[in-house]
Amino acid sequence: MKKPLSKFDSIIETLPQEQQELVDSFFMDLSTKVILVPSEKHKLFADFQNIIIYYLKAGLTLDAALNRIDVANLGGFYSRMPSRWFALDYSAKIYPLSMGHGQMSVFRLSVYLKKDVVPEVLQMALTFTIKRFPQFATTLKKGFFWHYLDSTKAHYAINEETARPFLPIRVSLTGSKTFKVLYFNNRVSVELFHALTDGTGGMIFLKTLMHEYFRLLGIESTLDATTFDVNVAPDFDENANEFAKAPKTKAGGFMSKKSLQLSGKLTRIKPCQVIHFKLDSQKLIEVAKLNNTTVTGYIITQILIANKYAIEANSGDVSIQVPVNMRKFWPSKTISNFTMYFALRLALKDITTTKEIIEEVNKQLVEGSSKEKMMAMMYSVRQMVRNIRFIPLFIKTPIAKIAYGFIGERSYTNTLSNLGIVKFPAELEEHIESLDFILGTAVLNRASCTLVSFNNTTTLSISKITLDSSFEERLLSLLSDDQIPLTIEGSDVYENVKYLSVRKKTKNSTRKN
Amino acid sequence: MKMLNTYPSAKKQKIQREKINEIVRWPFIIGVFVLPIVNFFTGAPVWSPVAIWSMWIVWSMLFSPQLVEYNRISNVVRLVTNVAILLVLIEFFIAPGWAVEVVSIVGFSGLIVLSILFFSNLHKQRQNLFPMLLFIIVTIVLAVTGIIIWREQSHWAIITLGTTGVAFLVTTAIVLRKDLLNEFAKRFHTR
Repeated sequence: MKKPLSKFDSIIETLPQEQQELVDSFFMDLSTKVILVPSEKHKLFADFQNIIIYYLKAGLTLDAALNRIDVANLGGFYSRMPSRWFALDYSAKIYPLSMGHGQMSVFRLSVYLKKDVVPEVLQMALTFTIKRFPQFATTLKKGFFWHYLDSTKAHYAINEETARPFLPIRVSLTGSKTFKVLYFNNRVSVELFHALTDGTGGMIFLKTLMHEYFRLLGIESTLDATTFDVNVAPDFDENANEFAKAPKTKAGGFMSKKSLQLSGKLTRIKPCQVIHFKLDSQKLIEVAKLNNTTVTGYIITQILIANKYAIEANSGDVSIQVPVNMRKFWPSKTISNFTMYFALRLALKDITTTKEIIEEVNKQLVEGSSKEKMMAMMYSVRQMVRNIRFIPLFIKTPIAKIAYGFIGERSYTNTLSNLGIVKFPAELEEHIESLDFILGTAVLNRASCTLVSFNNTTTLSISKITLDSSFEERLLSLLSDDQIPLTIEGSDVYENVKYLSVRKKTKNSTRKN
Repeated sequence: MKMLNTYPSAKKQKIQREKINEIVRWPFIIGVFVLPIVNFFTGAPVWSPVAIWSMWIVWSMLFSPQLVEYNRISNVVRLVTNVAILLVLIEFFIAPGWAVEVVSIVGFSGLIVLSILFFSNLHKQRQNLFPMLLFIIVTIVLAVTGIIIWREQSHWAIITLGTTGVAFLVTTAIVLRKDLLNEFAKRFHTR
């Protein structure tokens, strides 16, 4: 019996003979460029078929469509066997060592478009972009002394978001990916295992992906310094482990005092909710200036006050971990991790009003994030990694898990990571609404905060692992008191499913009645 | 707090592995402490190490699988190694006099299974080469040691284990050539 024609074949059959030949020759060309296993090759071919169908339906001529998705955009990525591997940079080494079942360091960057995402185009954009980020096209593997990233040539698929953010990235299987590209309505998100990159590297990936997405939609734009040309060979400096070059200084310590945690009960699902405060950037800057501080200083102050409201304790310290992008002290092209941290600490009893604590916050911000302190910490990381490099991984792993438990989240109450102002080329900005940035699964810190600004919107995101809403409610009232215009977006409470099912049952029974 | 929901709605969650582990962990932990005590009161034979090791196999293979490198090759290596250790423990504590042959048979059977898994999907499985290589090397070293120790007796199973290991190693080296050296460079890096 004759096999029924696929959707693609039936559309192509309606085209004139010469165009059909053009399509055949395109796929012949594609076939020579892809040496994946048949199942993966089939998926890649399906992506090309889907985008051709999309283009034709959108009224593009076949010539123009094939021109946009020219197989030259694949480079030699799929025509070569995987042979490269990447040692983890020194600050990334802790992430695979400290992960557990259902718990790994992941972060998420999202861009909100003015129109809904076209999945066929996003898929092709990822296919063309991935070759430019060889350290992302990898699988995490175990060496005798350290983990490393092993090149994986496979079909990198986008997925529609159907569940909560930060579903575990399964990195254990053969050819497992260490990142995800997701879409939901008008949002494109990348969730990245922290061992791959930091926020800066992640944002370069997202920007490059979006540049390619818009090019495939026919919107050309100029490249800026933080968007890669997908058809240029990767620079070796982009994988540089800058920690290895840290100059000798006085070593900075990692050990820190235990801090208070927000008092809400920990949820089983992590994060149980994501909240975005979308703030008016101009007004936020004005308010920060009025308080003689920066935007980071102002938000930290508000977080400290909100923390006090959400903690039930008589004494102790509240501490906020603030990541510092080392690229501002040490110019680097690396998209590997190149971030250090410092903790801003205040006694619970000293947290009073914005006016009273702002000076102390400013002082600690300047001192804590100074070049001297950060370089000292960078040197400490280098020394620590070098000192333990010959200890086998099976000994290092349990020790790292215990040590991370002690000097990890116990020493701070929450995190504020500020990615700063993100710019897109002018041609793209008109198609983009906003951005957000979320930190993944914390273990103890009930509310992890992030900031990112785009155009006149600064998004303050909170990922939560408690149902207690006092922290964000207090933060909201503080921001509102300062007359900062804001809108609130976010997710359902994913933990509270029992309540939701009860509510649904109640609704149904009411209808029956 | 009123907010615009921009995420997929909450759905009933599947029971998470962590939840199951949380419940199952306790019988295992209690077993580790209680079994030696029970064994102490019931007297010989010393069966508790065998029982504890069996529990460990179940825990590590079913409830707490590897977070990195959970693949068919590393799983077979871990299973065969764990079973071999279990057999040695049974021989040592409960019923002596048979383990050399049986462990060797388990070892070369493991090698044959690994060779089938590896060569049947070389393209994909070359990424999982290392646990298998370690296993081959360990089996060769053990076989050579066994042959030296029991040179007066004829242990066909040990000889088969050693020759199977060497044959597998040579075949892998011929097939992979330079990739084999690259694999060592990756796996033993200290960067």
